Amino acid sequence: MPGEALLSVVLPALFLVTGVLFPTELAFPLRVIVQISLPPMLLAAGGIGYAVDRRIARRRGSRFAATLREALLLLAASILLGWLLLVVSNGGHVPPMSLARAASTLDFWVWLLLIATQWLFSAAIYRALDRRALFRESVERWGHGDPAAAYRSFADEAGEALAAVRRIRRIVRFFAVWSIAMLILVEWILRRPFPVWEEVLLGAALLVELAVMKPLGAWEEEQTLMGEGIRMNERERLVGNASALLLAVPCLALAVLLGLAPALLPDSLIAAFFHWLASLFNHPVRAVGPPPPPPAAPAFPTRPEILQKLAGGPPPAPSLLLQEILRFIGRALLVLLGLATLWFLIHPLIRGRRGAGRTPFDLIASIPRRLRLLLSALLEWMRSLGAAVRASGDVEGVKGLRAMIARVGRARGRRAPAPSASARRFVRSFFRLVRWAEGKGVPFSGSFGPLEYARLIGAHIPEAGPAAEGVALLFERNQYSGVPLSGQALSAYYEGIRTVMKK
Amino acid sequence: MSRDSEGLADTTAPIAQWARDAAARIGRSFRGRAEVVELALVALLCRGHLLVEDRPGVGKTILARSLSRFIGGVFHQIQCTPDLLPADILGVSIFDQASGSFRFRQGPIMANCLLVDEINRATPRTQSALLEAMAEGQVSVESKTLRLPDPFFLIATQSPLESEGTFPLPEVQKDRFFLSLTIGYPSRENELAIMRAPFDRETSGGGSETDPTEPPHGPGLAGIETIAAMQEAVTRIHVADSLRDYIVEIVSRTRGEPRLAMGVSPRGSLALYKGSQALAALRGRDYVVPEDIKEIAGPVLSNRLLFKPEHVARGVTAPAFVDELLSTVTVPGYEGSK
Repeated sequence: MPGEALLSVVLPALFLVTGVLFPTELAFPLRVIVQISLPPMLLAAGGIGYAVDRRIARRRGSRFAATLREALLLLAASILLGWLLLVVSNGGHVPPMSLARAASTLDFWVWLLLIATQWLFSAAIYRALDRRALFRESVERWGHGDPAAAYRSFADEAGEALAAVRRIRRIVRFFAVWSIAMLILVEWILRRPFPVWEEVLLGAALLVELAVMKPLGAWEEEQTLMGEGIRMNERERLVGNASALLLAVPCLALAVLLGLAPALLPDSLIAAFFHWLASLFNHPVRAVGPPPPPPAAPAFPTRPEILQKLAGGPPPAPSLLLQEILRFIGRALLVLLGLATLWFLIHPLIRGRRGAGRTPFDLIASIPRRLRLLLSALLEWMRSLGAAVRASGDVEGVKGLRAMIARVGRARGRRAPAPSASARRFVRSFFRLVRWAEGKGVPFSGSFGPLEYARLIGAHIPEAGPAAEGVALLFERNQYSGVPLSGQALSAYYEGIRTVMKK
Repeated sequence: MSRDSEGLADTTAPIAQWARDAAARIGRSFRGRAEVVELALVALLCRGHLLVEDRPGVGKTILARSLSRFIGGVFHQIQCTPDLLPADILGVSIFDQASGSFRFRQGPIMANCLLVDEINRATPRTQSALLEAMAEGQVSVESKTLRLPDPFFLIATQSPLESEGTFPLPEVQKDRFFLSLTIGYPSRENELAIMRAPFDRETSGGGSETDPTEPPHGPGLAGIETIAAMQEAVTRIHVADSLRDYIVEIVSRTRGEPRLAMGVSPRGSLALYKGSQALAALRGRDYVVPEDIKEIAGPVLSNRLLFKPEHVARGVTAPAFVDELLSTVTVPGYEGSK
């Protein structure tokens, strides 16, 4: 069972259980803990899910890392944009009152986490349904009943096409939902109570992301699937979406209610933790602007004031020692988090520059050697260039120039560029044939030459032998002759693959 | 890397046709496997030398004579014995009574095609006399350096079974042979054809072309100039960078192999490179494909592998080792499949 499908069942259940077991304000701290811990839990569960998927698909790429990176970037962008909106809403000034109120009551945090949680939650369901349907089709089409083979094929072909479409749309949707939510939040902070129509708007915006809406607007997937020749099972998809709706709507409503519920803050470790979170939230404001003036008269009563009124005593204050310890831990964590995030973001940029299995320290240590190699290559090139110019004669500067251009061209040719999209498609098409043959019981190994494997196919499936050999010959001509196939030969190649797979 | 292949395509087609002719003509007298003839032609096109190792009576000498007949030019044969001296191969100065001076008389090595039969019966001293000729295409005798005819193709035969009165070839000399091959027993049909051959020759009035017992002197069927041109053309067969890496990867894996006392030398990787070019040309292609390298790897590498005695005792053989090695090296060209 793919990991994401597991998520689509477990996470709604988690929402429901926490909502049913702790429905009242008395259990607020526990509910908030659940809310706060949901994003990391989701990420961890998503990681497990992706690991399961990767194990099935036997893929080496880190899709989980890519998703986590994307989520981090979105979260960072959300926070920055949130601050910007708050500043704009306060006439271009840092809004101390609004921020102080938001931070002290943790409403902002709850909202932020709520939005992130719901986004991740709905995205998980969305992807799970998509992949499950596609996977089942792939089992029939590519795997001939073998899920492992089908999953490999799916991951290579349709999966990547779908992922590209879905990633763009997911980001657009996320920002649309996020913008609506943030606007409502800012308005809510500035003007209580929260109007009903905005809650409805927020719910509708969040629902757009859910899988139940997908059949109505999934033309991109349909196009992709049709291009790959995969037909989705409509009945299965509708049943899946209906199940998701049944699970998601009450969970969503509950999550929104949890975010809106008034909080009781007891003088305890949890309260200190909340204050620590609030101080973390205020740090960036202090760094970018002048210290906020003390509020003369709050426009609305703050939550501590409400609590004070309810409890009939002074507002809760955390222990000073604990506050110091937490501040230190917070700063250390922030620095570590910043470094880790920075490394996480720039890692893909330098990953391609170093060999597999090498650490960043190896990379740094190899810089002098690389520079020496570069220098010696440059000197060698200049020497050979001089020889070429001398050989070209006194008056034939053109020849020298031509030699120089040819040499530069050869030097460029020696670099091993990443395969282009068309080159990848060319090779993948051949591997589609390979998987088809594997499904027919012709085992493939990376040590086989293309023609060697085609002959093996011919030995097992005689009617496919000549066409497979034709495909292999074209494959070899393209890959090893140094002359790319012409358009006509390419057409023959793709047609040959289709012909073989019809056998 | 793109290139212009039109010029080369013009030259590889005649080579392929020539190879088909050669296989057909040599096959009339040598009733062995077609791959053996193809490999022998590979060695010829790469300016290499051939070591034929097999049991007595399977047609080693007939193959060599048929090849030399096809090549044409000057053919000499040396039957090695323990009392054979280097001077018997290279030549010697003899006193000419008429002129009253010494005159150098060339040995049988001065030939386009030299058959050294049962080379392991010659002493190491005599075997070493062939080293310079095989590597440099020249011989040094009595402070004189003599160039050998071009092309110079040496075919040596030896039986790996007989050990009495033989001197196994030193590793350095084995490395000089471009490739070694075994002929094996003929198929049932070929064996019947071998028995029918004398009768067929009589009834068809066959000449020297089909009679392996006749001396192979004469202009030959291929022509020395043609062979020289084809040897030149083969060097221009395209080998993709990825396939060069593949060759180096194959060879380098023999160097750290614990079962081997000695891995393959750079000369071996060069032989693999050239051999794959020749095989591609013989098959009418102007570029090398992985199958060319894999097919030529066994014959080229086998005589360059030296196993540790304990592994020899366990029955490890060079062909099996090469097969195992090739099955562990990933063929290039599949990048981007994931």
